[in-house]
Amino acid sequence: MKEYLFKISTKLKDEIKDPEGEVVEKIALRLGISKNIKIKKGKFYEIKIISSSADAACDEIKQLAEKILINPVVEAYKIEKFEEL
Amino acid sequence: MQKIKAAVVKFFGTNCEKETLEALLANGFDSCIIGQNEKNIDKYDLIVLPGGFSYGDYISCGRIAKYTPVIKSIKNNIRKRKIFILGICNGFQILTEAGLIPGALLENINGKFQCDDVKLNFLNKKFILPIANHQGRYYIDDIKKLKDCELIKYENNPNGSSFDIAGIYDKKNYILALMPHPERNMITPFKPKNGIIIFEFIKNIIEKEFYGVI
Repeated sequence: MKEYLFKISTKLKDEIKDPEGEVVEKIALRLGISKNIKIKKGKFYEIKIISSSADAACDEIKQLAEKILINPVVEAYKIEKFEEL
Repeated sequence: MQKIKAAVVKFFGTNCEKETLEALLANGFDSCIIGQNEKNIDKYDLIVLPGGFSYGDYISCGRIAKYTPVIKSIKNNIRKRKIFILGICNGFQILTEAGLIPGALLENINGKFQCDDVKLNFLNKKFILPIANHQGRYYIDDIKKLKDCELIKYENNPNGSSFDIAGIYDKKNYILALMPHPERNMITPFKPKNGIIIFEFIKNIIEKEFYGVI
């Protein structure tokens, strides 16, 4: 058995309006940081998992993401980083 | 005529179970509160998933509650017999997350928690009910997915919901999901008790289609 580290991000699908991101864009404009900025809010998960192989760990993480971390109707996820510890 | 047996489900973080129970009792239902771990719901003809913040809205509203034993029992009962499910606010969110109602509920279009009275239209009746939510924006990509449903619509869409949808009644599976709170309207002394429209609708469906009362 080996331990693996996953870093996963989730966010609304691109076609779905994200009011929180838009509010942050307005604040960025108000503070004079940038007039040309597009923001989509998401979430970030750091997960350690002990599994028999890298493939098995990836499969378990895929299930976790699709069943709990996102609602596939409106959200998508991305594995940002994956490494054996 | 026997009273309809109804149960209100309390999840960790639910906070509208008592007024929902009071509203059901006031409308003549034989009602009680059950927990999220209840596996045997065979004796109830109506299950209500009330408003609140089940599991603290962890990950997303209704995401964790959909894996509780009571939701599994609800799904089993829908498959094997006639049972009416009412989801109010967080209950609506749980029903979409559990795949019992199509679509999803997202943050309101203005990014704010909205607490207000809204004008609704349901089965050619116009009435006002209160809303109180942060994720009340109903999203569905294709209205055809609701072809077996009656819709409760906002007169003035307050939150960017697709097709002005405030609630959905799935006629085939007897599932009614709505963001406005009919139970709150039942217990205030200051406003018309419009919640009765929703509870009478449910009572009529159960009496006619479950018990065969003409």
